[in-house]
Amino acid sequence: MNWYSQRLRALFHRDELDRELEDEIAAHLALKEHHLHAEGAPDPTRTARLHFGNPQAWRESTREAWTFSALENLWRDILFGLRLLRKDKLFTAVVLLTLTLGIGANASIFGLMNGLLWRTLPVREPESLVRIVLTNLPPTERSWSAGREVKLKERRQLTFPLYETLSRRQGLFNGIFGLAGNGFDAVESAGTPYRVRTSRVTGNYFHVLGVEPLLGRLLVPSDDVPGGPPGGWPAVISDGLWDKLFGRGPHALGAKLTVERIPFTVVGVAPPSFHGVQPGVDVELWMPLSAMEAIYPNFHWRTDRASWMLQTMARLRPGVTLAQAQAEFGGWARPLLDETRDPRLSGKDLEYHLAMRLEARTAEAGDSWLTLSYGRTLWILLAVVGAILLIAATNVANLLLARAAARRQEIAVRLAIGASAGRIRRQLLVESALLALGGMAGGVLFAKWMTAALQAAIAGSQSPVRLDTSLDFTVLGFLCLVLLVVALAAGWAPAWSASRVTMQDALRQRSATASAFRLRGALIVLQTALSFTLLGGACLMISSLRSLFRESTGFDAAQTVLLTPDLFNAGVSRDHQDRAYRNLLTEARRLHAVESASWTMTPPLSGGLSAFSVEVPGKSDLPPMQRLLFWHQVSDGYFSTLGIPLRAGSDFPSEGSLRRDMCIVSESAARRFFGSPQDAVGRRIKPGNLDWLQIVGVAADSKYQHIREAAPPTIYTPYWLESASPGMTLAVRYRGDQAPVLAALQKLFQTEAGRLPFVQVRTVAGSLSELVRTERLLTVLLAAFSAFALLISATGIAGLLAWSVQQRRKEIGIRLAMGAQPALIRRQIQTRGLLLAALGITLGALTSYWLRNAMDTLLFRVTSAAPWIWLTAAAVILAAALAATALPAWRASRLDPVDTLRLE
Amino acid sequence: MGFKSGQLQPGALDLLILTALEDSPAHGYAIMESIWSRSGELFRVEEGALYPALHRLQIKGWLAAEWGLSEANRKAKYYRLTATGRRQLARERAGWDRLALGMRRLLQGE
Repeated sequence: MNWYSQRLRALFHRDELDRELEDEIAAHLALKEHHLHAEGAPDPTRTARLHFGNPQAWRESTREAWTFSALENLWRDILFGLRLLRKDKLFTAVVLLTLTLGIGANASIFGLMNGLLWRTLPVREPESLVRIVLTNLPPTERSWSAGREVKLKERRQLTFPLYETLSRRQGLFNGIFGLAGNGFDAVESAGTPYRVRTSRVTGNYFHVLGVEPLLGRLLVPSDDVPGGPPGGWPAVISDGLWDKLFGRGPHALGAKLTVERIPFTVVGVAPPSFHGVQPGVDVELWMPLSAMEAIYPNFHWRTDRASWMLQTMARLRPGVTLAQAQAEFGGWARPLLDETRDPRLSGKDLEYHLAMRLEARTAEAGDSWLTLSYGRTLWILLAVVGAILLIAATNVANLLLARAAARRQEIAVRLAIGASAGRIRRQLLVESALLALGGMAGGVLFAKWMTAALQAAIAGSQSPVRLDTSLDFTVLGFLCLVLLVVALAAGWAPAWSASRVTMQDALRQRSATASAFRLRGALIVLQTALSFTLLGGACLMISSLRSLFRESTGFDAAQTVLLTPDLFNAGVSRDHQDRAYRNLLTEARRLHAVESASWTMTPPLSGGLSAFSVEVPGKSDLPPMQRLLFWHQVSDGYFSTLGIPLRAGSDFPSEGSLRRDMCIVSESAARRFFGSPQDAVGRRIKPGNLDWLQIVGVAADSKYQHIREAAPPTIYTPYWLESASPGMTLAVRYRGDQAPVLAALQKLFQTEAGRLPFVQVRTVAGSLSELVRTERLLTVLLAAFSAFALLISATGIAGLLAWSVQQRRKEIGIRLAMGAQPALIRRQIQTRGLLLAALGITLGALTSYWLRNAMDTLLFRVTSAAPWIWLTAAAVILAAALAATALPAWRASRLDPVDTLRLE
Repeated sequence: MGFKSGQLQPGALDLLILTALEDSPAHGYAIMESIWSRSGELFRVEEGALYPALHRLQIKGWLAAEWGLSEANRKAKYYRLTATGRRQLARERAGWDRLALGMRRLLQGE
């Protein structure tokens, strides 16, 4: 019989083995007796037994030979631990809940960050992928993010001529590819329209990435030629789109699709794990870059040396390190930039252009624009949930300490009846491990839920973000780290305290030492400090969010709805677009409930707007940056439709009497150039490459990019006189309910286009709340987390004081018996609690001061230096502490001296 | 007086048991007696050490056991060496011989 079957037999046939052992012992005794008898010993039976020793002891040690004794002991410890935890339901529930929240929140945020920033792409050897960017950008380049001007450190797109020249350089790379766009296109399959996220890629995209098709083939360089390959434009679809359009059927291959009304043929399906190279941006259809020429006939990207449109990535040649590539790039940049420079560049601009540097950056985790928008939010959230974890762990430590104190007697009894110290320690450890594992399990479940909620909240309805948050080694490593932090933070204190239990101590029920109070007090101070910081942060975010919602957008548009119909894909060709827009405006204005209507190029608060420098007579000394105007095309009636008051002059006249040289400027532009709105009317300015324009009116300031921006100086030009750009938005001011107006407008669109187009419907208020989505998310999370932290701190204070009153009840009883005023006792206990809170607030204030800069970047119209915020937070904490101390203090003052003295 | 099993070198008890069983199978009592007599009444193994060791060696696969009849026509559990046990005995014996040789040289200054 081998080792395992022996032991298994031991485990399952314990009775049989026991019986056998008994028989063996009996046989042994009989033999011994027999021999002793033969030798003539006086009392063989007795002597035999005497020499035998204690059969029970060696029976035990024999048994141990054939059992999993260590495992069995562990199992017994686990059962005992579970029984104890079940008995102490409140304690167990509080610990599990705390850990679930702390671990879950961390796992969730970290999972999202991992998906966005660190998870490597599911391609061949992702570590040798680099992205190619331009740095040392011209100082004249301006860009805005969330309404604030930001200094970009790198440009993630190259011009196509630069990409082409770069890809001809050999030596460093084993292939270089580009991609453009990640937006939604109108795709039609078998007569049904869909909105699909597409990516236009150079022909070698899949080959350089090393992706293998799930079905059919992927794109190849011969697909990416001007005019398309002989068989027509090919497209590769994602596994998800394959399912959506073709139910995973093989008939997908060769199926016809139209993308923005251009015919495509599906040639293959990408593997399910592959969603493109931008984490969070779930590409569903890939087409050759050249197909952009068919889709946008007016966009001459192939030769345009000023259009930065191609995100570029490359694979390093084996043996070439990133540092080597970097060094060699240094020499390449200038000649390449010179070779592909925009011929219109001259003077300083050319100097700036040539001074740019090409750099290769590691891209094993892909390269997503989402990192710009959400990276910082996620880091802040990680810090917040880290604080929550710390609070949770210290809370568990505190509860365990309290429990250990309460169990001193139990432990002492167990020591007294012969349990070894090691056995007791192991028992305590098993209990902690059970709690940690329970918290971990709860945490993982909670994380799953929270991740789903956060993904939805971060992305909003317009552009879904799908990050891969499945478990990988990074996440697992992080979870282990979290577990370690919890175990260390929660475990050391009780272990330290338990190791000091001596039998005599505990049996005599000596009161706990002052050091235990100090230890638990320190934990509570730490918790209170974190609560204070979180609470202050939450107050700041709430105040900031309130300011954002109160901030004037410049529009009075409660009764205005904005519709962006996709007329082109519904059947209106480009040549007929202007006519369709005219008809629609006329028809819309005729509708009963419509007060006014107007076409506009950029809906309010939608983000995008182009800008250019203008020439202003007498203001040529102003630097170009000061002469920058945002440009906006509108039809007449725009200002009344969106509720923008005119400060001077008048609106554009209706189409008949419109002149090409008319323009309207915003109030801030008028003040900057001409002193006042009145003085601006009738003056002339010359925007960029356009002709001189005459100002006919001055409109109040309004915001187009973000609610955070300062009123942008804007120039409005009449829409009808320029060639129509696609994707205009119809703004409609209506009376009464929105629904019937929307229905009537949809019907108009359907009549005009021949069928119902895809229409994006917006309101100014809706856009505003979309814009502040991340702020709102942060506010809600911070508020929830700080409430949680506050609750823990308050219960911690209450628990500690209750325990201390319990320990000191003899002393308090004596004082009461000697005639101390109950009110004085109460006050003393409460002072203790408030002192802890005050210490916590002080520590928290220091932490907050240290974090002030990180906080300020998030805030709007309030700074982290606002004293009332911190006074509020401090007041809330003190009030909570006062409430928490009330019960133990009241109990202390009501102690019956006789009872307490009789206890000993 | 002799040595008790607790005073033996670690591993020595195993070797004693294996040696006692080298020629023929035996039950626990016989093994005890055999060790006592063959060591010239130097080594006395108590039951409290013998039986756990027998069971341990059985689990290791060096011994096998079966019930049989003893000299007094009583039921007794007989242990015998397995092939593995025999190999182990050879190995341990060689080891002990070397150890004993070394010790003797050192102690007697040969």
